[in-house]
Amino acid sequence: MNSPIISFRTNSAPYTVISPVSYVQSALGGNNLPVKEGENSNFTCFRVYNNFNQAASTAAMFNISLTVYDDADPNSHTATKSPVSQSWVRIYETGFGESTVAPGAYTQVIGTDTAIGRSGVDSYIPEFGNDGGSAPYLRAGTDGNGVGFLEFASYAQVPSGAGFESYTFAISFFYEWMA
Amino acid sequence: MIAEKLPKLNKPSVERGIPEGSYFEATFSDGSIAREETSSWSSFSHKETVNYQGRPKLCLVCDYAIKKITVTLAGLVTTMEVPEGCAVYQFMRSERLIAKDIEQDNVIGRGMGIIRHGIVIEERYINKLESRIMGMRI
Repeated sequence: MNSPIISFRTNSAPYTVISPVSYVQSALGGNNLPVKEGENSNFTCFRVYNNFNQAASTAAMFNISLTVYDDADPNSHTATKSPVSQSWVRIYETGFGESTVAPGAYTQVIGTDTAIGRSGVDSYIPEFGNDGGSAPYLRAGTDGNGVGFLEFASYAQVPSGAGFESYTFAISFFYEWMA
Repeated sequence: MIAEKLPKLNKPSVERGIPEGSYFEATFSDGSIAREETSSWSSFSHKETVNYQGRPKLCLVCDYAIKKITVTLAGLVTTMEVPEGCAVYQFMRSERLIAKDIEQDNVIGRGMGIIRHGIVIEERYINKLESRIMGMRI
């Protein structure tokens, strides 16, 4: 087996690759505006695929979780840097599925809306795997089951007093695998 | 011998996504040895949900009895002696990070654990980000 091939994609055909995920607000007077303090951003939906292009011998992902950091600074990946604004980012699972030909076969679920980085919450563990089981698992299509995906919704809940700053977050998707 | 029964690989471990210098070496109950360069853990393991500190954890558990296993990553090495009657799993831990102008994949750790009657009794984890070996034992 080879390592998983992960891609973040839109949640509608043709499922193009997205990066980064942007948090904007639509309001009377315009779309894609900065998010006002004390308000929520629009929802952003994205899918995480394993092996979208169906390469041979690709490993499945186990024990998946997501978290958010204040930025992409490598120090923010360890316990040496405290979470601050990433607690504004909320994420929950909205679906899963797989298909043997073109990835699809979507099943909708509503996961627990989670503010990652809030005290005591350092990650979001998907409630369903792509096979519909309760283990956070994402198949790669090379085990006779099909190409899998998990779908997530995310939004920013900006507190009052956030001011007029521009914030950069890093979303991190963790998984285990074995070659 | 168990190691002789395993499917042989021609593809270098780096091409399978294993970081350079990282490998496992498993000594089976009959004394034969499986190594990363010539064998694929996924070819002689099965998916199993085990109890890890009270929570379910999905693992790739070796199909054969192992008496000793060593894993390395980022210059760190750890070895576990496996009690008789126990099973062994191992895993790579990776991360996809996406941020403004950045999208990267990293192997951030490598671990292994010992299971007795469906319960993880010991786990070792090489934390590449913090350059240290972590673990638990119950």
